[in-house]
Amino acid sequence: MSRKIVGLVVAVAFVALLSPPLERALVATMPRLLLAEVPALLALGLIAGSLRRSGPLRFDPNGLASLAFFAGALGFWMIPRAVDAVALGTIAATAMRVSLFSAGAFLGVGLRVMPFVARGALAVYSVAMVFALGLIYSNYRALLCSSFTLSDQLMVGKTLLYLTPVALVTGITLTARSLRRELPHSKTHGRVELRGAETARARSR
Amino acid sequence: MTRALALAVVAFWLALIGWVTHGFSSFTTYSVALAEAGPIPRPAPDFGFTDQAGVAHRLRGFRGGWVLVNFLYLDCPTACPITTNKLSQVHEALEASMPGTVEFLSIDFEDDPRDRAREMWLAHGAPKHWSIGVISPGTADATLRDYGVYVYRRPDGLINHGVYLFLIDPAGELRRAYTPEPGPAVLARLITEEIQGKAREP
Repeated sequence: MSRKIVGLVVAVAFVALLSPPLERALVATMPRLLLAEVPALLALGLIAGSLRRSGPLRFDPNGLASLAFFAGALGFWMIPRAVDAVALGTIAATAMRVSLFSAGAFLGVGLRVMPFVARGALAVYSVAMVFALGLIYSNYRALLCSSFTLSDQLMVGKTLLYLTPVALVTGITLTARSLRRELPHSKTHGRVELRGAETARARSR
Repeated sequence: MTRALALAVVAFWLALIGWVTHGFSSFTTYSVALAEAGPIPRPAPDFGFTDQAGVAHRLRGFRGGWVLVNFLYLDCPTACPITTNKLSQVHEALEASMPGTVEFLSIDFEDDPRDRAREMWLAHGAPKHWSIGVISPGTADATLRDYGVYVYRRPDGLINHGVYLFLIDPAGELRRAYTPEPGPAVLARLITEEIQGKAREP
């Protein structure tokens, strides 16, 4: 699929998420909001970011600021009070949509240049977030988000706990792949250096 | 440059989270409402109610003794029965260790029929020193706001609300707001320590 078509699909999906009927439906229950809308926004942002042709952002050459923005946005919108604000107010809901989509988009760009350690940290953070939220929501017997119900909360908690192994495997796989990509790269560097040294020696002769 | 930007982004999110959560202390809408109602200890807001026997009271009428207040509504399917059951065990424990020291007031804020409050009271064994009453008409919103009890009325009829237990000392000072989460045994111990003056300053 061409970049243009993918970009168009992402744009249409994002606008659809902002449209009132879908928006109301997604904030109506906690599972829809936290298990469908939030991942969808991040995924759409990631795809949008990865469509960028040119290299890294000028102000973020190694993707660390993108990582910080992503981690902050995800952490902020997981706070029960923030979740309530999204469920009850249009401004907070719009802020969440824009910030999570942007966080995904920045990450999509930043991931390409992010050092391996930062990618590993991202994987650990994401898996820890899924597990911690799962643990809290499935074990806490009082309502944390005042706009929803206890059964909603329990369902979100259980689902997140079920998703934890999936997130863990995905995190390990992506981190391992990233490490593999990094290793041949350094070998290439070695070869280049060797070739460069040979050329220099030849020249000196 | 890039490190500075990353740090600035982290600082931005931390500042925002700190602001929204009252300095990393209140992460739910309930705890934010409690924090915004004012610092504890503070004078306990007065309110009127009619108990299960139809007798009208005001909170200030209980001065001179310790009072444990919680707010509920009688049709509540989840949080209120859970809290009331815990409260029942706390009541039993305190009545066993220091009989009559603490007056329990469970206050319905939805103007439910008093008969229902009486039924609930009887269902819990008609306990002494525990009133289940209905708040005076037209005063619920202001009272709940003054105590910092957040109430959200869902479209399906459910009312989500703070389930704090407010401990009021004999001078009418609101001393503590407990969540029922720790369980009856811990709550009974915490309340006992507060009454005996062993608790750390709030």
